Amino acid sequence: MNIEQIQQQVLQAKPLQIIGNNSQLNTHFANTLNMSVYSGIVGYQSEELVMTVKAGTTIAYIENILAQSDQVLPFAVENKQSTTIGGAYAIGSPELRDAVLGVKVIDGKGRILNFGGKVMKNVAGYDVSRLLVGSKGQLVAVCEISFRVLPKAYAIPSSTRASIEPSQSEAKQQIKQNLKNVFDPNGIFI
Amino acid sequence: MQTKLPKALANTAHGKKAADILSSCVHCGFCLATCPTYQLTGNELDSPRGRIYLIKSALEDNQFSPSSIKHLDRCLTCRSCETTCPSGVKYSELVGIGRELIENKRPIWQKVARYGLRQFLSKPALVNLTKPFTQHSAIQSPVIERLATKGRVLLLTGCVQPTLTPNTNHTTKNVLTTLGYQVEQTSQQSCCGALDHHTSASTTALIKIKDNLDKWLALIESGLEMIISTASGCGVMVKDYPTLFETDDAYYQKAITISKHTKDIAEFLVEQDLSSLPKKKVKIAYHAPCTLQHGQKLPNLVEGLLTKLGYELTPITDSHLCCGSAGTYSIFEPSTSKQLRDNKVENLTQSQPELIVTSNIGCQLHISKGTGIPVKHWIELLDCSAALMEV
Amino acid sequence: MQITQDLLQALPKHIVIHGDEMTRPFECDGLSMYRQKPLAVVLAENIDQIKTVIELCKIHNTPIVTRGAGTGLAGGALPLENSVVLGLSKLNKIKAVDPEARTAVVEPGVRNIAISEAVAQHNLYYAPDPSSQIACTIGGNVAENSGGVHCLKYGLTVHNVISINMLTIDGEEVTLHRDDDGIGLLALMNGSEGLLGIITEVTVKLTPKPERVQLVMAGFDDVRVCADTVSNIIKAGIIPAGLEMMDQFAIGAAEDFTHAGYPRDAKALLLCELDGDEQSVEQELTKLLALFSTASTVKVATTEQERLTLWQGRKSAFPSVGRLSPDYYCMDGTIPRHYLADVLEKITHFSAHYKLRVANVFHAGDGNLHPLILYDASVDGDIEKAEALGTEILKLCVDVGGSITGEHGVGIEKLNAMCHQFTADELDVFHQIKDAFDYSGLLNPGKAIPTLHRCAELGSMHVHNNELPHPELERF
Ligand SMILES: Cc1cc2nc3c(=O)[nH]c(=O)nc-3n(C[C@H](O)[C@H](O)[C@H](O)COP(=O)(O)OP(=O)(O)OC[C@H]3O[C@@H](n4cnc5c(N)ncnc54)[C@H](O)[C@@H]3O)c2cc1C
Ligand code: SF4
Ligand code: SF4
Repeated sequence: MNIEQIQQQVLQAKPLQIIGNNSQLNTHFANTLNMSVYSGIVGYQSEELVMTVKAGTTIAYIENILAQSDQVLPFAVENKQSTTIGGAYAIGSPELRDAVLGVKVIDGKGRILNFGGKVMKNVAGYDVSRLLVGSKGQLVAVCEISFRVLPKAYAIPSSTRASIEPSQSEAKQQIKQNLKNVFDPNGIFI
Repeated sequence: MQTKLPKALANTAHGKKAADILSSCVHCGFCLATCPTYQLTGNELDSPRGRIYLIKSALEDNQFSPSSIKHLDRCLTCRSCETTCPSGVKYSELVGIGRELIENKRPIWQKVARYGLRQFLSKPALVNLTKPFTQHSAIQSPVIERLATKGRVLLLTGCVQPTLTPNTNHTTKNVLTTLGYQVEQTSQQSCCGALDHHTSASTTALIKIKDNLDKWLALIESGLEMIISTASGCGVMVKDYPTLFETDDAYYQKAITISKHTKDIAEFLVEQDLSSLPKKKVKIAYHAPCTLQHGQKLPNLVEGLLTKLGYELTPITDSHLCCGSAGTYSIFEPSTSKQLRDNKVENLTQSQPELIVTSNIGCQLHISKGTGIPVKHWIELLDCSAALMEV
Repeated sequence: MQITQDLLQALPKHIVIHGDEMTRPFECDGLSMYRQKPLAVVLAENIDQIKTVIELCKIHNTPIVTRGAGTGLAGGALPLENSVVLGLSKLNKIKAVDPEARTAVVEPGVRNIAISEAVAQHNLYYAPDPSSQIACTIGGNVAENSGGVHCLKYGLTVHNVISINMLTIDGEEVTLHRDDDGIGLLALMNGSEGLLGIITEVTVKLTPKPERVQLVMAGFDDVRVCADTVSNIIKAGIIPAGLEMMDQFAIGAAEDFTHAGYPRDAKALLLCELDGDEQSVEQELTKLLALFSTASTVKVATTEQERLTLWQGRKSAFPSVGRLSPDYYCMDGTIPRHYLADVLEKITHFSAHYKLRVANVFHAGDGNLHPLILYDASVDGDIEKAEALGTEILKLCVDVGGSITGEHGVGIEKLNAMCHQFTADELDVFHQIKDAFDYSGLLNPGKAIPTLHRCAELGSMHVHNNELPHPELERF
């Protein structure tokens, strides 16, 4: 599958549920966008400490490739065999968000968009590639992700932390709602 | 920074100098961090960069009202900004030009007040009259006399120091004599000119300075080794004499010679063998005057010397900041001055010293008004005769 | 103006600065090339005063430009015509330090370095260290997502902020936390350049001081060899705490100010800092010194004082260059590391072509270039030449897969270059994000994101994937 085919699906779809390897979300809808068929490494040069992959690539596959250069992912993911990087991105974690450098996405209007890049530092435009971490498949279809990797010697022990009560407020909810409308004005992604 | 001075000004020596200094400022804002007035007010207008901008603006022929003057007056000329500035901006020279420019824009009452104070402080006869009320410390030991074996030095006695803190010059003489120097002294009348200069009375200042230059040069030609200052405020003024003359002025070269032959007493003593000098057993805290660390650019000089002499110095928080004395500043800007003094005293007394020492009479008197702990010139620690008696 | 009158009425007089004469010193930030006087400047002393400013500006439909220390290099804090500048420099209190949790809660006007100074007693520090850290504020750092010389290992501002409080254009207080469920609003606020909200409080992460810190300086006779060494260090599996490069011109300028002992005759130098526990640093040091076998001089800092002096030279390098030229223009492009040598060579060509000197001093480890273009604004045509040269450099960065700005932000200065990096659709999304936060469009409008109209006028500069400018450069 290529990205234009995904784009076609989005453009034709009524409500569409995005799934990776079906590991985390239950599908109740007829229309699903199965990203697991969109997989593989797009670019990886170990000395750059950056990897770009298609969203359907599994974590296990990625870690395998990295191991060949003595490198590791700087974030922890469960069920590595079945979880895709796109799925992990959609569920989100602070460490994964830290590692993200750029994304290629398709928004609810079917537009292919690039945010961030393949370099360590980039403050051009708003940091959409980190914003969308944790968007649960409800804002965009994530197609490609660039992220930072680490030499094995610098592996960060996966953290267990006290969960804090996220503070909620009406104003914050309103902002989130507004952003949903920015990326998916017609409510395609559910 | 781009600067466009009006043609008439741009062609004058003053204008050229100002334009040069302004163009060396890149508006990076580093200097904000170490400026004492900005730390207090958080207002760009009370920062070096803001003042530079106000002066630039005035030189570019923009409106310059008492509101701007207020922010320039608030500057302590402590030159902390110069120490911080990576771009080498000669702030104090620029502010000198700026102050001259504003002098005739001042409201009349300010002019009168400034004139009066200047007259008072630089007339020894008048200052001496106040002695019973203002004297800070009296001479505490006998005069040491000994044959000079090394050479002659000239001690800048200062205009108010002999009256208010006579023990400083007295001890200095004893120390220098002990080390084998013959000490000559300037008369109280030949003030360094700092007072006039800082209240923007350049013409008066220049007359005094030229007179000094001629007299001192004659001494140097007759074999005087060094001019020594015990007040870092006078020291920096004398060392900066060359900046007051155009390079083609005959006095420029004279000023350079004098500047090269002037040292702070600490600068002079670090090169000497001090093993014969005594050490007192007191816990001290040292306040580094701006005129020494930023003006003469001699940071850590006295600290090093005192450590070498065996004193234990604890680091002082914000030691780069001004104590608020700054010449006549404490008189014209009392509230800022007091606030800075309170902060300074707090930092100096953190380690609970028995004695605070410094290198400048202005700081000494100012700080002592804010604390019960005695404040002295550090040279008084070396009072040879007193120590002899103590041992 | 009515707004000024209203501000004067509603707020204490001493915090409202108005009139041409008094507002002029606020007409620019660290990028003094662009200047514009605001209607008024308010130096807020508390949150309520900020709310008042927002409220009045909304009533009068007046743009608000938030300002920290004004050290920004992209014109982010440049006032807009008929705007009110909201200065936060008076809000400079460190509210709480928790050494156990390794966090500090600070007001937005606290200077970056003041945080490290305040927590030093607990053997902690705040890791991101922009060269301007002595003066720049944490609010400005968050708004620009500032980096520094130690970001390669310890991350940018976004990686070191745990939560922020901000005020929306409706004056509502919102708390955004790193651990919030769902999308990354906190990350979005990092680098938002004052367009989305006003940051009123920041909780930062503190880092324990490493057991050992070892700085090594290496001078090289050849720029290419120096640049390749950068890649080789990473290839060898070392992530230095800092890895900085300076060319001969910058070396000379910095040496004039600090007398740090930089090798003036070297064509380029690297400052490489290792940190960690004693053993790992020692191992890496051995590897590093082997990699530096191609260097002409190597100096291993032996005392803390020596280390700090060597860093001071680097951190003062921009303004030091100011001694050598009346004006300079600082670029901030990033590139994949392995293009370093090629891109530096190209910059030398551009420099010769435009007949303007360029000094290079930059974060080599993360491929973040800082070419300083030297010019003299009082020479006719120099500004235009400097801008044209800058544009060439930024295009080159984008073309090799990098970005027009790594840490200084877009501000007013890089609006045109944004057209080169993003498509109309992407820019459209950016504009809508602004609307999602600030429907009134009063928060620092016109900065950071170019209008589609502007890009259209420039001619579609965006390079599409299938075109390959600079085909002579090898790609991966
Ligand atoms: C010599 C020099 C060296 C520098 N080196 C570096 C470096 O190594 N790395 C680096 O990243 N940067 C560097 N900078 C750039 C600059 O210092 C940073 O961008 C810094 O973060 C700006 O902070 P500030 O407080 O001065 O912000 P300002 O310049 O006042 O403002 C910057 C932007 O932030 C917005 N803003 C400020 N405060 C707030 C707030 N509370 N809420 C919302 N928006 C706000 C403003 O509107 C503006 O858009 C350097 C600058 C100079 C002059
Ligand atoms: S001389 Fe002192 S008070 Fe005056 S601007 Fe410089 S640092 Fe501030
Ligand atoms: S530090 Fe120097 S160059 Fe920077 S703003 Fe201050 S005076 Fe100007």
